[in-house]
Amino acid sequence: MLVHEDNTTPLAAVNVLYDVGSRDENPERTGFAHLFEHLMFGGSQNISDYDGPVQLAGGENNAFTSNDITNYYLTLPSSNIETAFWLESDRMMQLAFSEHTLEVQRNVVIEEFKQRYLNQPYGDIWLLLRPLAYKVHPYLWDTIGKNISHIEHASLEDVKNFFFTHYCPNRAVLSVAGNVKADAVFSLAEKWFGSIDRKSPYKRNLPPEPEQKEKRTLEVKKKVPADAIYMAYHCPSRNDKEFYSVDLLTDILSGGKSSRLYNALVKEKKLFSEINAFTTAEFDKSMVVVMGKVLDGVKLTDAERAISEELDKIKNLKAEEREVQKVKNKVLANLEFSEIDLVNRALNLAYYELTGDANEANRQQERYLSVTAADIQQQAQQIFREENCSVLYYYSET
Amino acid sequence: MKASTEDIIPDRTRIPEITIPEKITIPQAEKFTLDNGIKVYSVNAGTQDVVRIEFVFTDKSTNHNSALIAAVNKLIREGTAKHSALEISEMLDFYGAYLETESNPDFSSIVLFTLGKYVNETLNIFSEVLFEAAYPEKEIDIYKTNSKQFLRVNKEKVSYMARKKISEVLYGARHPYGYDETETDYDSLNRQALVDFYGSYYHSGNCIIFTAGKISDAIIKSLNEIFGKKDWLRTKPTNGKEITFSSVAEKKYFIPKEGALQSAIRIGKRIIDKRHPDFHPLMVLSTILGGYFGSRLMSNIREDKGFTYGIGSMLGSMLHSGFFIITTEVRSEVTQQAIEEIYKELKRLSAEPVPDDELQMVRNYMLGTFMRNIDGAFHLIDRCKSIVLFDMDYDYFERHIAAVRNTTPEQLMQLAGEYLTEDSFYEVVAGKK
Repeated sequence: MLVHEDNTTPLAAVNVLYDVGSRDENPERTGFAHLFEHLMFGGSQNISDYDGPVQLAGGENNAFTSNDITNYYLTLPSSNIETAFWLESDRMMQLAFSEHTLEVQRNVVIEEFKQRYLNQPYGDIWLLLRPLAYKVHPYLWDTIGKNISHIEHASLEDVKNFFFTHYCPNRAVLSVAGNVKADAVFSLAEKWFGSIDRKSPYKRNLPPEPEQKEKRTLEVKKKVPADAIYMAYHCPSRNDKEFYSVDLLTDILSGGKSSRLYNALVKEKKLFSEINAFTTAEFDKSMVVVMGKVLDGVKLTDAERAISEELDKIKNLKAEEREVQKVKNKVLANLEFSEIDLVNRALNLAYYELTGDANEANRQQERYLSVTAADIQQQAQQIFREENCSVLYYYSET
Repeated sequence: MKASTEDIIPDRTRIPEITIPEKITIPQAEKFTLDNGIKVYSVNAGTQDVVRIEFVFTDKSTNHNSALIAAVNKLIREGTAKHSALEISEMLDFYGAYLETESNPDFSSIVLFTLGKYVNETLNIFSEVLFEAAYPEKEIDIYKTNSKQFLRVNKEKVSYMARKKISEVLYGARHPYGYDETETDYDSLNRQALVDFYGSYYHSGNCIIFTAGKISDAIIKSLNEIFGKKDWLRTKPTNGKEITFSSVAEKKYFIPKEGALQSAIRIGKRIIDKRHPDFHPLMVLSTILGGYFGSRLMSNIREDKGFTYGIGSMLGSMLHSGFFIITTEVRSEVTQQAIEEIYKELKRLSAEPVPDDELQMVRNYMLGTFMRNIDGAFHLIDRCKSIVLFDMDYDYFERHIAAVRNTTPEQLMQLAGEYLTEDSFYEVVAGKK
């Protein structure tokens, strides 16, 4: 339980982070952690409707699921913060397991699946790229699930099992930011959450992704207007100390309009209409993904070669000090801008507590500042190896 | 005070006591005038060392070419007489600053986001961009090619198809509110037209400055030194013709999209704009119908029937027209059922009074939302912009709060009967036949 006091706002943000994500799913029931997130709004033992009281308290709430975590948050006038404790503790204690809610939310999630992944040009890339890059580790499926049938088959029994395994005080971090007094918040936490039983510790026993030994490729043809390329490389995890070098490496490649890939490939060589590089920043072995859409008449193999040439440059030659300074300044500024939002401040505290130590939230700047050009080059050499790469060639049918 | 058991043992069967502040006041922006007459609105607040400086350019009556207006706005940062596009981006990135550009049929704007400690350096770059944009031929060509591809990707989306059509139906394809760029528009962009529009539009007589964050007196002084000493950038404005909205008789439109898994539905109409007193109670009505998670459309079409991932209604206002629109993507097989349910919910608004507990929830939710929307310097300057650009005053927000607190179920029914009758709506569906 963590508290951040800020008396310049009349609001408070309450964040409950659960240590469960789609990596914890049964491979035959993928998409379940996310479906479950929807069910968490379907009422709990003493409260038939979650959203009504939040709205009555002048609040706004939402949640998200990733491969690693499930996070619930709400903001409301700080005078009504106890309502948040009432709601969050009740659904942590005992969810109402309703067949009707399950039925409806299955449909809602299936529509989400279609709206975001299937009924969009290029919407299915993560469904294709993940199983190419991962062969064993559960990151091989996306948070939405492998396919719609997994969601269709989710049963109330699955829901109960998932709840009893993963939703409990010892798997959650609670944080509050805003116009509150820490003492009062700790008392509320004790009052509402103190009596909820811990559950037996969960042993996360995920199969580690073996070292990739050769380049993998997949070609698809779809009804899209332009060819696109997606290159995924394995890289260190969000929780490794190398993460900060990897993050700055991708910023050099594609952070902002002065970045290398954008200038070389969009502006100078005019091969791509857009290009991006980023790390998925996941808790286990993670990915750096380079993705872009090519212009008419550009062959994907030529586009790939052009990307590789840029990656070779940063492998072969250390970045100039000024360029490294630039990406660091940019990250520092982004951290400053993101802290404007109360919800982010609450989430950051919970997030870093989960991954080791809430104080890390205040140490991010120094972590980035201590990275050297040599660190970045070393990561580039480690990551951008052909045998570490999975390429998805996404062709236009027309 | 002695502790009662209530403080220790939670009563899980009842919602804890809820309070909504009796009085919600919005801190007003300070107003300055630069020596050359440019107005500056400024909110000095916040815990972070960040600064946002926005120039909004207003009067577009001289030109209605949307593609041109957007291109001039987007390309303003792509090279000046002194620096290339890359050099400008490099300088901004080096200071961790952002330059964002935005344009719509009413306004164009350029915003600088910067750390307070680098404001002098980044303002220099910003002013160079504003005063000396060069519109290099090379950058225009890249913009044309990439915008066309971006458009082609969009055209594959049922959501885009439906949005484009409903705007066209409501305002007419000749009006900027109803028009969307085509590939031909991008092809026909030429440098001279860009340069001309830039000169006639981005000038000191046509802009308002909005600043927010850690705004020191020194920053206001710098603004005057750099932007306020004399008039800048004015070439001969060409006279454009006033274009009026055009109406169509046909109310229902279908756009086929082979293989679509979902249909995009847009049901909308033109309506009073935000200067009209009914706008505020209509906002309450719109929230009840589809403006929040617990709304009737969400409860019925998502939470009860599971037809969609999301559905909402929106009451919005542009400079010359308000609009009311219902938006959703539903699974193809239930398209007609979803449309029927939408009309059913619309009809219910004028047929039965909103129950007290529902209305109380909406009032509290809207007041909470208002508190969120005035929290922090960046939100406050957005609120300020939303009235200044419409020539309104802060009493707009008092009227909003009064309407949220006081509009009665009877008034809501009457408004629904007046503004939201089924036959006044246009309907667009994009999806599988």
